[in-house]
Amino acid sequence: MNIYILIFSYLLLVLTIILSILAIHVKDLLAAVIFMGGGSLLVSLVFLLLQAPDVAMSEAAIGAALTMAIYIVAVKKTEREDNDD
Amino acid sequence: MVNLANPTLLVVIPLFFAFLSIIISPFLKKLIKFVPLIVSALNLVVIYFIGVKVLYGSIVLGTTAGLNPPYVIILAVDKLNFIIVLMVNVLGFLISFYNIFYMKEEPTDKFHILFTLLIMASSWISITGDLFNVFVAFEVLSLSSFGLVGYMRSKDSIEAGFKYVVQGILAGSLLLIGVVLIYAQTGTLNMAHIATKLDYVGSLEKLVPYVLIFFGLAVEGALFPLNSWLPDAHPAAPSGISAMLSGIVTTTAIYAIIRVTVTVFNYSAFIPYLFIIALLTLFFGEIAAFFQKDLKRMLAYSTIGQTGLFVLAFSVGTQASISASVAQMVNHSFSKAVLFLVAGIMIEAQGSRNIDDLKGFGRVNILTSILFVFAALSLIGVPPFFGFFTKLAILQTLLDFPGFLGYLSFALVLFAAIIEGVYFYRVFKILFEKSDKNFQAENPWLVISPFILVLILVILSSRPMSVLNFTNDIANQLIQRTIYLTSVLGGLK
Amino acid sequence: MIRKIVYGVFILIIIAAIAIFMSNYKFGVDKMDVGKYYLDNTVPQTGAANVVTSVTLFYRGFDTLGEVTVLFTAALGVAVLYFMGENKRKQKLQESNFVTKIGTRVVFPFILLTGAYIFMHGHLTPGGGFQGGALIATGFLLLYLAYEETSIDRKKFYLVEGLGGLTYVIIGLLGFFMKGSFLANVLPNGTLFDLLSGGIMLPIYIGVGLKVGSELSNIIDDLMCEVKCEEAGGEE
Repeated sequence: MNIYILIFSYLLLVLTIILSILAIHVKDLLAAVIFMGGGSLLVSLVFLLLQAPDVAMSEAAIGAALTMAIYIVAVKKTEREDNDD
Repeated sequence: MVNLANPTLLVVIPLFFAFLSIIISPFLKKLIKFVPLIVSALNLVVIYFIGVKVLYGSIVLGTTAGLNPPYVIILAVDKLNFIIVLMVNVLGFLISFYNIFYMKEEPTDKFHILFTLLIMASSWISITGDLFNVFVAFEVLSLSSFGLVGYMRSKDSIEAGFKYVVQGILAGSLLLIGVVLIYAQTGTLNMAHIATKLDYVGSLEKLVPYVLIFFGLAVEGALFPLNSWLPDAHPAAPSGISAMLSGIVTTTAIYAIIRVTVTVFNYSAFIPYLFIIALLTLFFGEIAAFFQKDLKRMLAYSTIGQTGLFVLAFSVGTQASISASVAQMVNHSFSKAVLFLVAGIMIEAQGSRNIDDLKGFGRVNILTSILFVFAALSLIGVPPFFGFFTKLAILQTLLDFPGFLGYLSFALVLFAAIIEGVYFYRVFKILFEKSDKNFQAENPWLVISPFILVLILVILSSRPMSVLNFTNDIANQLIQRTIYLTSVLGGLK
Repeated sequence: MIRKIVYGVFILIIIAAIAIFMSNYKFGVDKMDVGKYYLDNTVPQTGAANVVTSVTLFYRGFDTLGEVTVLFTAALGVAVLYFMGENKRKQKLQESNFVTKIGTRVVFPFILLTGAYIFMHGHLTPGGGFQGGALIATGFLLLYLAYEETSIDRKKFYLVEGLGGLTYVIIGLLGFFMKGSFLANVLPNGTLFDLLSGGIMLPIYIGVGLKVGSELSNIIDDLMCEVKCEEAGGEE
């Protein structure tokens, strides 16, 4: 495999990890969901770079779009509570 | 001529009816409740044709896609598979009959479709010869039981369902990772093919995938540290579902553990750990059951204890012990199903799950209470009943386990039986106590299924030795794994 | 804080242990005898250009039937847990803006078309029934977000869902009755790279695509209605 693609996919994976950590630590649930969706999108890009387009497509459609929508619906049903210390 | 003795039909028939019934459910909602009944009846016909061949010692295979394994998925039925799948469909048939009269909460059509899928998934796990199939079938099994546990939509059933979902999904991902690691090791997913290749893999490399797969299955199988969902899920679910979860889902999960341990991994290195886990499961399950005031919760903890018991017997690892384990599995499935179904009738009659509220129930509804007593006695292992012979066989084999643990487990099994006796006796006493409380009379339609199940138990009790001989055959076929491997890999040319 | 560190160390130990155990694993090297068989035999045996599809739909088609059922079960479970009987109410969400409305109206048919394209070309190009179906469902999601009065006719969606599943099962059963093995290839393979090639894969993937699309749309409908009803109760 092309060395640049390899480096790029590692970069994307590191970014995904950062996004996941952000998703855990951010207070606003909606923001957490969006970080998670961004992570899924990056992962699907990695799948594409690793020559698995089938998996990339499902990850993009399900992980990034539908799951996020379902989470947002769930978040909408919770009440927003802002007690910052 | 189409050969009906094909295991694939056991999966395809339920699926066909499930997809069909989602189409007709908006128009003919009344008919949907008969779907699980029809499905399990048809499955029993197929199982009859398979059974004729299996009982003569051959392994019945069903390939897909018209090619030979290991390149395609294969379903294989040997004697162990046969008895499990038979149990699944007999119980599925009787419990779905019970459900027809028991379920009134809407949307009943979706309930019955989910129940069909539960029967299908349990049958599928118990006949598949492909490791990834086990994972897929477990997904269907757990998803359908999530829906059914949370079906009443009350606060505690939603909570129980949520607990179950979280643990079940985690278990599923462990199982998946385990299967992926196996694939990385061997490059194949067929159980028999994996088994032939794993013989050349070091035991350290085998350990990680085995542990992952084991813990993935152990959540559904209710083994000790992973069973915290069960005591909540069983009481919260409708009674027919509790009976199914307890009698079938746990059993199929334990079956899968047995198959993976014996046939695929050829276990010996893992046995002492399994033995200790089973011992803890047995001990804590029975102790917890002793302190319960809620009838169904008590039965749920008793299920944990019983699961520990037959896994304990299995993990001794000799032919006699596997035979005793399978026999106890049969005994537990049938009698625990009766207990849950009868508990459902009792709860419907008095509106609460508390044992103390049942005072005098036995004096009004004699038949129901007698069925309860019969099944409980068989579960405890009181002499004329089938459970006595299975427990005796288990106790005999436990002494074969080397060292101090063998004696300890012997004592613990006896102790557990006594505890079981005490807490069931407490229920009997309350049932037949004098009281002026008025109970609804039992619905005769609901009593039919537990009655037939008790009849089966009585028949088993009348000829325990022939049953134990059959389970001995099962254990023999299971231990001689080369027969399974060669007939799966070379049977179809 | 100490607890966090203890957990962290514990997890690190587990990861290290797994890493050590797995250091001998070689992913995808030489051991892939079954995978190699698929690569060598896909074209003569199935006539599909996309090997991934031939594996998921032909060699391991039984698993895919199971995966289809997983989704079916999940949709049923959601429908059961969100069941509200006859007192379903429709209600206004915050009205979406003009751009979203017009944009959705323009994009929606193209999303459906792309989804259909993906699942019909599953045996030729990357993608297939699941991906195409999910794409179609995102189209319906967009519709729900843009127009609050959106509501799908559940009876028709159940019809499509059931027919999609039945297509799969019946094609499998045809193989069973004609060749004695479930999901055996009963249709001609055709010429490679043609749309009408790949034997039973094309009809199965069309069925799966429609089924997945309608199933996921049903789930979205269940979830969305719940939100709408909740807010109706709050405002009135």
